Amino acid sequence: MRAPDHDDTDARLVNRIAEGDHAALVDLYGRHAAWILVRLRRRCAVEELVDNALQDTFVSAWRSAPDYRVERGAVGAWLWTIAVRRLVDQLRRRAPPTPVDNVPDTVELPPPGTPADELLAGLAPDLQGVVEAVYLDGLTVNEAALLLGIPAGTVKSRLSRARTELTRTEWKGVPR
Amino acid sequence: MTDLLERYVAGDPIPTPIRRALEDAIAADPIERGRATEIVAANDGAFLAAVLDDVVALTMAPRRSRLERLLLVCRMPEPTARLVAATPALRWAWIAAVGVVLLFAAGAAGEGWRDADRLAVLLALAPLVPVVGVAAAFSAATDPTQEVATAAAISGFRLLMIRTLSVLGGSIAVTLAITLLSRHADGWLRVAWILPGLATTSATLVLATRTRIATAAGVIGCAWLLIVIAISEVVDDAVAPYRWPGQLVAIVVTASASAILVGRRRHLDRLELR
Repeated sequence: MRAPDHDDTDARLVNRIAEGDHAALVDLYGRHAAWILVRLRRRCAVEELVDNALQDTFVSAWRSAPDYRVERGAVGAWLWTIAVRRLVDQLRRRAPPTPVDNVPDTVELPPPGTPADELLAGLAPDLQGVVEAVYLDGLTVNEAALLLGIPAGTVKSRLSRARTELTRTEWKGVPR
Repeated sequence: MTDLLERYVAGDPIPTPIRRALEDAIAADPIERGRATEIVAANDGAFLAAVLDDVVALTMAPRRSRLERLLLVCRMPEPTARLVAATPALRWAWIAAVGVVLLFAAGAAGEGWRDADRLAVLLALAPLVPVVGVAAAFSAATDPTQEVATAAAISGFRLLMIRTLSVLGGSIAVTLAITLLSRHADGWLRVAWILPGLATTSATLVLATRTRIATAAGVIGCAWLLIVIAISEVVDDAVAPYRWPGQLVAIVVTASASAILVGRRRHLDRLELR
């Protein structure tokens, strides 16, 4: 068994990166790059975009390391929020912008600690991807549309269906 | 669990809730993460190493200065912006030093000095600011971009113009601020140093095509001071060198020096290496 202070190790690495330590960046990459690569591949089938997103993720982490706060979450979760945004950036650069009317830019997040798998399990399969992208990965409706390759209007309507389904289950008042 | 992890890495279809639970576990748990890394590295180890090389190379590049970011916002091409931002005369330390020197000059006074005498000190020193700035920008000892500039895919003449204009911009801005603040100046004589400044700077560059830039700057600087002191002694008017005949001479010097520089543009590639 390993020592229980692993998240602490990650946080210390990020602190060293904030001070400009390249060795710490290499360490952090060694600990996290592989799973981020696979997770990005599960979101996007275009290899080139995934490769660029992986690289951008660690370059962004290098730049925004001074902003990282342990209180706001573990390093793994922090890296994933960066990674999924960089993937959306890649998709945005490639896709022609789709004009959408009246799509709200942000959506309320579920309360912290909501188990992701239980939240998703209560939903029809076509709604799961949308809820995951918006509620769990914190993307905007437009970003989720890019990631999932569906129109923003569809994201919006699926979200409202998801809200209805979730209020019917025990997740009352989670997303309104 | 390992079986599920292998299927996950391989990209096999897995119901979303189960996949998400697995992903959250990997992100949070170092042991799961270690297993995932092992499986991925078996196929993609070389690829991951290549991306790491790129990441390290990209993060090794120095962070952009505020000035450089500002120039980029103003649509200046990236190589030019980096060159301009690297100009020694545009550093805060430099600007502050020049400002302090000029402030002391503006405050200099002897017994029985008239306002014209005080202004004359400022006017005599101000045209030396861009000369020293240009010398610093092209001298191997002070220029941080020596090697970059030498290797840049940009003509020596263009490089010279970009760097000289950056120096002039910074020098004129700080000197203007000080002279406009000066209480002794009156009317247009406050800015009477601008044309002489252009003349001394262009003359320094011309001379630098024949000798080291530091020597050129020293020669031109001393010559300038000797000339203005001599003139004001002879005609007994401290600001005499800056009245319109002097301005006319400055224009002629600047124009001829610029013409010579353009004529020698082919020989300017190695100016900064002298």
